[in-house]
Amino acid sequence: MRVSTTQFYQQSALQMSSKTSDVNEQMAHLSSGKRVLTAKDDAVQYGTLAGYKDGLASIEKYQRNITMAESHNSLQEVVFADAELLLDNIKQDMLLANNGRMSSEDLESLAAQTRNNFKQLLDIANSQDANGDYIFSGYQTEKKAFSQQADGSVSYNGDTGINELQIARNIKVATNQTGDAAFLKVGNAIGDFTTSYTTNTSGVAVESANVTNRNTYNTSATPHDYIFTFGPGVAELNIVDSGGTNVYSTLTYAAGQNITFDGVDVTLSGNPLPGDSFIISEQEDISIFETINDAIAWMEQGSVSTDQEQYQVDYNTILNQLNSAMIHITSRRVDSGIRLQVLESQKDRHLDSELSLATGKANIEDLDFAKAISEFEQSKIALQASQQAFTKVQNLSLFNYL
Amino acid sequence: MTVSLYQTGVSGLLSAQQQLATTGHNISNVNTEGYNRQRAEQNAVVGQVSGSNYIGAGTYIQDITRLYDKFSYKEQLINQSNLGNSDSLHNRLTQLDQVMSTSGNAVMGSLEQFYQALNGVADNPNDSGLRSIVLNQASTLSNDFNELTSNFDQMAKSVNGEIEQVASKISEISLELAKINETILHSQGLNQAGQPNDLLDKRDQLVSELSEYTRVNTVVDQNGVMSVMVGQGTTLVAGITPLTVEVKAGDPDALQTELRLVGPNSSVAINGAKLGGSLAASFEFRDEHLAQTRNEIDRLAMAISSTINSSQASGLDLNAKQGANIFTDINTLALQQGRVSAPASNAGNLVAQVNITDVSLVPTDEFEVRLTAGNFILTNLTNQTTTNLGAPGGAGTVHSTPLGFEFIEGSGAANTDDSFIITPSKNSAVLMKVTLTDSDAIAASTALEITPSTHNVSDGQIEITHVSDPEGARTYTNVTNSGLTIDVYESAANTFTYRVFNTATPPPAAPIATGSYLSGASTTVDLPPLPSVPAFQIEISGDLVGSGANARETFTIGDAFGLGNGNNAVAMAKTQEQGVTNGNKETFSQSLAISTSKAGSKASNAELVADTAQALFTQAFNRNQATSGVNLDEEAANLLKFQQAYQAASQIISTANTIFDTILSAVR
Repeated sequence: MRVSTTQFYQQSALQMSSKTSDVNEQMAHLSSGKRVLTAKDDAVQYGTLAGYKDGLASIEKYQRNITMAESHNSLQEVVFADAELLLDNIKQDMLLANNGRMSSEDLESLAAQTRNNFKQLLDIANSQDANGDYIFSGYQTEKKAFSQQADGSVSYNGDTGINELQIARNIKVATNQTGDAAFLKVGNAIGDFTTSYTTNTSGVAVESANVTNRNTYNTSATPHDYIFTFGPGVAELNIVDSGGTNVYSTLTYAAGQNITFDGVDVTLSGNPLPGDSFIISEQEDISIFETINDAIAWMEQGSVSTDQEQYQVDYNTILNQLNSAMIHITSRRVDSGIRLQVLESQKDRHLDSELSLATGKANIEDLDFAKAISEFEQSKIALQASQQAFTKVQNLSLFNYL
Repeated sequence: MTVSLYQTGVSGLLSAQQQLATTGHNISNVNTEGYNRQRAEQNAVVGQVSGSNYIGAGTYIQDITRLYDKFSYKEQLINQSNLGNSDSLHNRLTQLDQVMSTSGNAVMGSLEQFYQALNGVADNPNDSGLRSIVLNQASTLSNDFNELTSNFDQMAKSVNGEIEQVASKISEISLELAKINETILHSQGLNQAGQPNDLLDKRDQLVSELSEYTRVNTVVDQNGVMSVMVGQGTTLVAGITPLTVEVKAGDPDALQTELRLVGPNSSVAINGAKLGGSLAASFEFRDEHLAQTRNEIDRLAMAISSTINSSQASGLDLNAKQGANIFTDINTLALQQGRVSAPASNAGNLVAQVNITDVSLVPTDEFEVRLTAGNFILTNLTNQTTTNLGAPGGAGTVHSTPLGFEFIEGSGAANTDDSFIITPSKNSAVLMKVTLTDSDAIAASTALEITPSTHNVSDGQIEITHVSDPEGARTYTNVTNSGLTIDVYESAANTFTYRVFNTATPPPAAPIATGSYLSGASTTVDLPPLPSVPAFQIEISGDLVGSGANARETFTIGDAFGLGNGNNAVAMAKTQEQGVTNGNKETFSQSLAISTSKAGSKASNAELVADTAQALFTQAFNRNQATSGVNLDEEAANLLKFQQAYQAASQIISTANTIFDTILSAVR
């Protein structure tokens, strides 16, 4: 085929320019270290690459959330550990106080010590975090959680709000515990009722009182105060509800027998004597502060000579309730601990996903340097060759020989 | 005899001269574009009778023709158009791909930062520093969208500029062609035998230049006058009459310029996209690819604004007020009206607007609403499906569509055959701004929370869904009522009855709402119930058995507002992973990634097409050059050949002279 001069020059120019642009493109890839700079470089896998990048960004976000949640929950764990110690001290003091050889002054000093512990516990319950927010106030973080009234009782100023943070796609973790769940809602050791003793000559105590059939219980008259009266017969027991209706009576009460009425199950300990009577009223939860105040009040009675049975029954009730409180605080501490565990394991899982996502991303995006450099060398040589070929052939012309 | 020898010599000389001139012409024009090499056709002069012999009388140049293969030239023209088209498209799409990759990545990055900041507020809702960071990031995000849109605007402007330039170039070429045609016609009229080769070359070169811009077809009549048709048969040069191409502002969108063919008495519109060549590529890029990408980005901006704004509206800010919009409301009057454009050809004066009702259903296509036979007909301009929207009903009439938007009539009335172009997501990215200035107004707190009773025994649950008026919900729960209680129990086999009542006035007082649902199903209750406007909804699901008619599963709804409540911020941050666009299937970053890969794959395809077109054109060009191109070596050899011929011919003359001298000296 005949080749014209124009054709020759045009072809050479085209080839050289295409080789130059190849070299240029490869240089851009080499200097950035990426195979995929824009979507045009690999449109088919660009979507997957964007997905990997997205996943990695999500994991970074979750890790931050995990760090924040960890700091909250660690603080709570430490606080609960302190509370455990304080309650233990109070319990030790209470145990000491039951020693019959304690004089009134001794009891007074134990009471003072317990008061101090009480103050410290109140302080702990009003802990603040690094930002000055009260950690036990629920959503009302600017309000102090607990405040002590003039009569010594403690009221809760916060609410029941739980804040959560997203630590994985479908997993949220709570970052706080509310003050009322931690300190006020301690389960009643007896069950669902507290007792107030009118006459107690025998040392009878309510061991357990539970609502077993809520349906029946809710139908009966309210409020649910029940008056237990023993006597006048030897084993006679009459129970009357707050409306005056007799709900249970027996003439053959045996010690330790299960008493059922109105959907309520009651078991007593001790041997009741005729004339003993007490009232049980509904109270499912007892606040820790109330328990400690009860303990202080009990100690401040001083050494008591009369009514020893009631004294002892009261002591037992308070000690049981203190135990219940300690168990409760330990559970709250365990709650924080469990959350920390969840955070830890999720952190590890995120690290694993991060690794696999980063590998996937590198597979698509990163440049295989060995391959790229050898391709670059090839292109460079091709460019050089075309340039040299051009100069050599361009010289050839018949006019040179004329 | 000597005389005829003399003549023969001279004829040879003259022919050699012409040959040399032609060769010289070829050599000088080796670099002229579109030059077809010329050759002098030399013919022998018919012999003269002398006795019984014919004695030849020399030579003459019959014609100087240009070596021109009509067919390979036409092939070159076609391939040139294709190359012009694919090259232009490739360049533009590469530019779009680069813009999407860089600016698009910026948007992705700032979206990520925005959500990170939201998570910070979720952890510590009371911190004003963290809150202002959220607003800052929101600002950055909307700026990035604005910038991406302005990049698109730049590209559109540059395409429009190119269209104008090409149109004026085509007009120039058309005028030149007509002039050349006239000259050729006149030169033919003078009955000259020869071909005006250089004029023809010039004309062919002009047509070749024209073919880069559009598809070209030519027809030559018996006078040698060439008529030129562009595109799919539109006459550009009718013999000696040129027509010009003008650019006119588009209707209804002035920036979508259109072409018109202007003749001596009239002008007619031509469809730029069907012209072929680089013009068609410009129109295709501007009206299809760029418009599509722009619509997708607009829709994404609209989805983000709308999702964040409605998440804000479900929560309460630090002052216990309903969260105000962070981004521009997607249904401001300006945006609503901006989505509808009416061409100037409409006879009526209806002003209409489009209200977006559900962002997840909004498509990226464009629509046309036309009043035909008394009804508004909605046509999807991409797939031509139609929907009947109903008859016009005066100002304020709402015509809803299943596509997540409504067509609302404003003032004025439409005449039959009036049409409106609807772009549902128009202007969302350019008008996206952060309208919230007070960082306290970020609604991190939820309004209500629901607490199950500790006596509940079953597995079901009640959730608060869809808070539309958090302040109203809170007032209703705490002020109008003293807390709300809901109890549920299994009233009959597999049937669960619920009651919603004021905690302070439990049954037997009348409940606020009551109802039942079957096992395995769930039910929702609007509160406050009708006839009041509902402020929130609760959903009861699961088998809430209860322990009896007096011991039902109980849940209490109470106030949840607090400075430390970050649960609404958590919900807002979760929207990053929710599918929103395209029928709730794509998250924001997926949506953006899809748009970017679409642009990238179009660019990548265009590159392949351009490479192929280049190869085809090179082949056609080479084929053409094989016949018509000048080869300097060949011409150099020809120079020598004709030089020799000239020398030889002059030798004939000197020989004839010598012969004459000999005769003369013989008779002296």
